[in-house]
Amino acid sequence: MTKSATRVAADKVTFTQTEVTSAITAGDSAARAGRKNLIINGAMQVAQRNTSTTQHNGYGSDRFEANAGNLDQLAITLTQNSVTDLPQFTKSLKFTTTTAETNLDSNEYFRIMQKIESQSCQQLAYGTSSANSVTLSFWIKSSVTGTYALSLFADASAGTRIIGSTYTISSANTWEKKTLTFAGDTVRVMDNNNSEGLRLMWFMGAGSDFTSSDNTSWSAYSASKLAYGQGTNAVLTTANATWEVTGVQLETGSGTDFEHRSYGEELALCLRYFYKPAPLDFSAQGTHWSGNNGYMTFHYPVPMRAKPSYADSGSSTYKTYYNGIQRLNGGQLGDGGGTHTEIILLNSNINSPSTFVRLDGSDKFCSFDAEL
Amino acid sequence: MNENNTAWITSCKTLEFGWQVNGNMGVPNDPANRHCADVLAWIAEGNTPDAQFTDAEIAANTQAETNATSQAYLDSTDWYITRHAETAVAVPDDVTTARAAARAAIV
Repeated sequence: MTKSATRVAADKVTFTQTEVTSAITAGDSAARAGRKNLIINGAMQVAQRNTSTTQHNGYGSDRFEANAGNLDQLAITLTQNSVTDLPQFTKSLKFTTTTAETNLDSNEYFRIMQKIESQSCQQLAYGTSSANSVTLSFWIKSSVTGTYALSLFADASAGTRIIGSTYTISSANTWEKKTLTFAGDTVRVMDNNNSEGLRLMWFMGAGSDFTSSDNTSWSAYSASKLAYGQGTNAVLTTANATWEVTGVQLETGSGTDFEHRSYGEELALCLRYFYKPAPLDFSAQGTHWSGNNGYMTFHYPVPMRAKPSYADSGSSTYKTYYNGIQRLNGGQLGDGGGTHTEIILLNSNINSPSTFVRLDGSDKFCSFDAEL
Repeated sequence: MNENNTAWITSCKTLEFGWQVNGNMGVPNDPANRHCADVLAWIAEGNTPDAQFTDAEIAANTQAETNATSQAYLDSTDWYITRHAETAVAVPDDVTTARAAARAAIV
């Protein structure tokens, strides 16, 4: 019996690399095999801190950090905004100028950043002849048309590097998809640990101190290269101007469609960097220590990147139930690591040998910050 | 890119495992923590963190908290006394006992 050519192919158990590559490429029009997006919370679904802030150095959505330098009059709001005019996306990060900067001086800037751990970037093979290019894609909408700078910063203990590009907003108040590809850096090997590896930076405006040096290919970092090509600062100098972004994806090679992850997946990824439990989501084991002082130990929902900073709402942050309700003050950072922390409850009149502790109402909070 | 920012630090007190910054943030002594990096830069600028809480400070703070809690209880039960004065309705024994304990706890 003679097998048909099709049957012969079906029985084949060994394939060449060319055949495998060809097969993957054929089925890869919508999504690359495996997890591809280096950006966390690219669809802006998670906002643990607030859904709105007026801080120059705050977060409107998890992992996307605002950062301002030397601005005088500028007042802003940064919000996790609900989107109704962009299919596939329901949230965005929206910047609004509430009080305009009168004039942008040479040392002033405003940017939105996401920092990526170096150990999550090893597939880029930076510092080798096989360094991979990356493609950044995102949806953008602004009331101000013009050319904006965007740069990619690579941190490494051996020396920092930078490359940049620009994108143009052509139509005001209209969603536009931008795709930018950056060559791989063959010079500098990236560290491989929990420190910063890559940093993406979108500039809303930048003074001349940050725009004077070419950054269109990888080179040693200089502040003068941060926002090369920034063509307009009008978002910062125009009252009620807006700048809005979502669908952010950074992937090796050429760009593909956005990788939608479930809310639960994105939240778990964000929790490595910041955790602020809802009041009813927090309880911990506490115990008497000495005098009126106690200890409380608490395990994070996912291991955090580093030992986090701790903040709480101060007086009567916590309560416990031992001989009735006892109000406990906020705590002081105790020992701990990336998986758990110990909070020292000083001056809290905790008198139970062993008890559980919870937040004392919806207006109370505790938070753990291990952001890069 | 050294972007340690120290301008946000207005006070810094030594803790056993790090620092208490601005009175409400516990910062661990871990260089991988970005706030720790800021504190170390702040120290490198010539600043010195305040000393750890002493036993006396802890005791004073504890008493202050006790005073506040006890006073709050007295305030919340004053209406029993007013009602008794105006209508002769007796103050419950447990309230009388607890108010006495609260008064005794205030220093």
